[in-house]
Amino acid sequence: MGFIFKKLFRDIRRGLGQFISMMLVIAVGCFFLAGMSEASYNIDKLVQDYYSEQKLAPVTGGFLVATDEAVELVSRRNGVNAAAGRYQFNTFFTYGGGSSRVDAVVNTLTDGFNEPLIVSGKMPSNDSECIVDSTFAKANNLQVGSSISLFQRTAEKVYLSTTDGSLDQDKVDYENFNVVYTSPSSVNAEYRDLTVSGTFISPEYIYKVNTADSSAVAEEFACIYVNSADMIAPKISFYINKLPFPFFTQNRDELEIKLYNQILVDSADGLDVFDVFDDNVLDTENKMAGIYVEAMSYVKEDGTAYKNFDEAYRQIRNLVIVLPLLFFLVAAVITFISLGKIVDNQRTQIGVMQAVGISKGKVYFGYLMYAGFAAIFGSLLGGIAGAFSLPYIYYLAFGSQFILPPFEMGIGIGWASLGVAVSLAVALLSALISCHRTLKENPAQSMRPRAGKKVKPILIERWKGLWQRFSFGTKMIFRNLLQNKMRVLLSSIGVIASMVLLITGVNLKSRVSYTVNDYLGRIGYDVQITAQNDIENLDDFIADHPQIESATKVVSVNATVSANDERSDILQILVPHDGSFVNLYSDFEKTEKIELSQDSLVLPHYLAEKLNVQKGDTVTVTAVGYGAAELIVTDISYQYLLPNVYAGENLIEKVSAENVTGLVYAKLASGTSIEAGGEIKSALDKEALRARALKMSELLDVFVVIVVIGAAVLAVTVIYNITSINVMERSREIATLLVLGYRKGETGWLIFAENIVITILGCLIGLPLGYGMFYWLAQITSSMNVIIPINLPFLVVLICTVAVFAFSMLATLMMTRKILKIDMVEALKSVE
Amino acid sequence: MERKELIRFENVSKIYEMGEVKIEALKDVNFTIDEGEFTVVLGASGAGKSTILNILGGMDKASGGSVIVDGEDVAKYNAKQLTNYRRLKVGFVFQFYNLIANLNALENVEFAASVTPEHLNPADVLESVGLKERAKNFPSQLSGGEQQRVAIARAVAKNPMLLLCDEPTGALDYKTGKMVLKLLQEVNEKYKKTVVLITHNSYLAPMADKVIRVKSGSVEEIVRNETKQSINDIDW
Repeated sequence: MGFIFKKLFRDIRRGLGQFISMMLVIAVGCFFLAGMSEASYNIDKLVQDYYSEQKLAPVTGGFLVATDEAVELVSRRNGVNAAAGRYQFNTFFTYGGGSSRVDAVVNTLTDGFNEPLIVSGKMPSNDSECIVDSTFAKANNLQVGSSISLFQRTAEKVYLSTTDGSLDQDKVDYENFNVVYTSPSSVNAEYRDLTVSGTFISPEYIYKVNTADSSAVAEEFACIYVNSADMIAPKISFYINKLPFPFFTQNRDELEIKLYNQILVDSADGLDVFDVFDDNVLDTENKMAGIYVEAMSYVKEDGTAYKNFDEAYRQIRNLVIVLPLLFFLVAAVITFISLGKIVDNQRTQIGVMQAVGISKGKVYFGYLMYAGFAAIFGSLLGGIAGAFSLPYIYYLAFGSQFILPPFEMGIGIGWASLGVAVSLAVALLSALISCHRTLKENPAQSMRPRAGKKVKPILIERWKGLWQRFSFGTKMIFRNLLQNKMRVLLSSIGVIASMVLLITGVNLKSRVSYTVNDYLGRIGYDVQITAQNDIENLDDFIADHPQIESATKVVSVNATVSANDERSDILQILVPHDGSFVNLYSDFEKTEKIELSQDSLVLPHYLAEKLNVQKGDTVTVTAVGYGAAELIVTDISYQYLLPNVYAGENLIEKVSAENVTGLVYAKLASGTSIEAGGEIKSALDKEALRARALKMSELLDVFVVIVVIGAAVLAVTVIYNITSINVMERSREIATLLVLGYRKGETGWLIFAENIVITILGCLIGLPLGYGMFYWLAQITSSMNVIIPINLPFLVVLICTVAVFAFSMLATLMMTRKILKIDMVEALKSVE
Repeated sequence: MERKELIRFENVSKIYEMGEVKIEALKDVNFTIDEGEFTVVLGASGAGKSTILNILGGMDKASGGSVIVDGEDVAKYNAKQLTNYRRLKVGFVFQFYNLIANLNALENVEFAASVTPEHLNPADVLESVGLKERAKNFPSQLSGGEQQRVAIARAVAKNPMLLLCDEPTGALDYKTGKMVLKLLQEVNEKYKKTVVLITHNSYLAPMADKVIRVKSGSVEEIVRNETKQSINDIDW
């Protein structure tokens, strides 16, 4: 047995480049298989553990008002383990003596639900303390001990309406109450000074969306927790309204009770909001305990942060399932081919070994060991490298968009082990099959060279005129390629795989960049201004800011759009008073501009597809907090990043929304700029908007880069491997050429030219496959915010082709050096 | 007939270094070969005859001494000069033919001829080795003897100064081998080529103008045959 090992190690040493390249191919496969799977599994586990450790509420009920009694009622329901009330409201605060207002969402702390994780300082110990989310605090230098002035309502009016129009408040049928939850209007408000006792991260804010302007720039607004609802919940006056409008209001009651507007519920798995809160109004003995608002209730999975993370994660996970498999598949095929060739090249040796009476088992064993070593070393190397690096890269990548708990990913070896096992199985099987083919022959047969392959004239030779013109090198290349179609196909597998990966990766990257440009292209203004208050008179506002050349107010309406039994999520409908500030196009090439008029309703194409509507169809727009209206879709526009529904001014009236806004699109005089401060809460110029857009696509970008790098490594190793086998097989032919006086350059060119043909072939086959793969991935990775346009620009094809050629030529050049080292004497001596 | 000296080996040595071990394949080899001579290098396996041929053919470099071919010291050539030397001045015939599998018989000859400017007409040469009818056949369609004849035609068509043959009959049966040797003799006479033939078969000695016997890396003796015999008259 000893000599088998000796032979094994010498075989490895002699063909070290080949062995290493085979190992590398396996390593790349396992790197991605183990790394991406491990990372994907880990990031999900990290976040899920975070949710469960910080007790993210499984169900959140939205209430206009809820009392302790309501909480008690909910907690007694079937399937409910625990319930707690809290008060949540959107407001703003000032700090550090500055006058600029920061949007904030304020929550009361709730034992056993949505517990924040303290990053610095401590939890608030009394009613004059609060904690602020660490992302905002860090970005704005708000430290523990700083104080903030929080704006809060102390009294509110809430309007209730009855369906029967009854005005007799004593006979109100609470069961049939129809609640209209306009944002309660403030009747009294004040600033309250709070000391920051600590900073936190929270499972309900791993993705922060500012409800005031729907922006998701975590550094620009704050999440705050305070101790008790008593200190922030306003006193509420109820008014009962008669339908239809106009209002007839009558003061009903002033409640002097502890109030919440959310009930957090821990329920058995699978319980829906309907199971937990199935009454519009909770009523015990004719006393109102709470007024439920279905539209503001959600199960954990539908929470903004949860949903956004989940969507991003699923996008990436889809990539993750497909790519490692592809990498691995290529690795398996290459292993199979390489081993087949290696065994075949040693056919004579195998014959000799058999002839001297070495058992077939030992022969098998030797090659199985060779394959096994390559598989084990390669897969361990790649698997461990992947399992240790990619989870961290994932964490950083996700961390750019999400506020994640500290990195403490358990680096598992589960996937790496699977990689090792599968690589080993593939390699051993390949070796087994290859050996079997050779060992099938009797020793006498295998010791003799395989009967030369029958060479027949190829088709081109019939064109004598053309054929005669070819140099012998060209003739050899043509015959080589056309006589060994199978070998050519196998050789081109590496190129095909690289092309597929590159086309997929580069085009994804290019299309994601396109979405950013698409977004910026919609912007027909210089700056997006949000004022501190609603702007009543735009002319006055413009007069106050001389930089502004022209501007339009933009009303944003949160609404759902439905048609054909399909309903959109709640989205923002933007209503610019002057449509010329927005550039919308009804075709992908951006030639057909859409003019926004009073009656316009423009849906982004993804939504039109989802709702299955065409231009001219009717859809139902339901404004959150207001009414609903049937409207005609006037246009469908192509929008890819942060798509919006755009509408003309008439929509506001139709859905009974308020025509007030602090949002302005402005064109500035050239050379001027506008900054936040004073009346202006924020001013986002094109650069800021671009940064915002880029951030949306950043996550996808990171993974695309990983794919491209993987493709490059794979391309070089695979092509090197295949070429090296090619050269090894043909060393005799090459030596003959050298002996005949062929210059090394000329000889190298023959191999080079063949690889060029193989590369061209690979590119031609890889291109459609790559497009198919891109098409598929683009579909599964498109989300509500980033829709990947499905097209393949010529430039991408060009870049990928050039890259594949570069990889191929690089590998070939590395090989050419090997060719130059071929020892003519040795090569010609060996009998094959 | 006074012949011009074409080749002179002077104290040629060849040492293969394999790690710690040095193997002296040739030591102080001295001989000369005249232009147009048919020389047989005889020796047992491992005697160093192939090493002599490899050095003479520019496929390998001597470790010491000088190898004068046509007035120039080949031992001092760099890789590029060696390639040119092989290209223009040397024709090889190997034991295992080493034809290019993807070129047919004629193309194999044409292909070799194409690298030298003063080559002979490939078709004529192929005809002269008796393979006119097989010109379009690929090596896999030819018998061993036919392949070796193509190999000889290939070497001759380059119109080299030197024709080096390394055991050209080693893989052939007696009858075919004899035919090949006859062809080499004819080439020597017809084209006035200097032929160096390596063999372990001492029966072939009479067919040469000069016989160089090699043993253990050294020249044992050099014999000049006053009259060389036709291969037809030799049996073994």
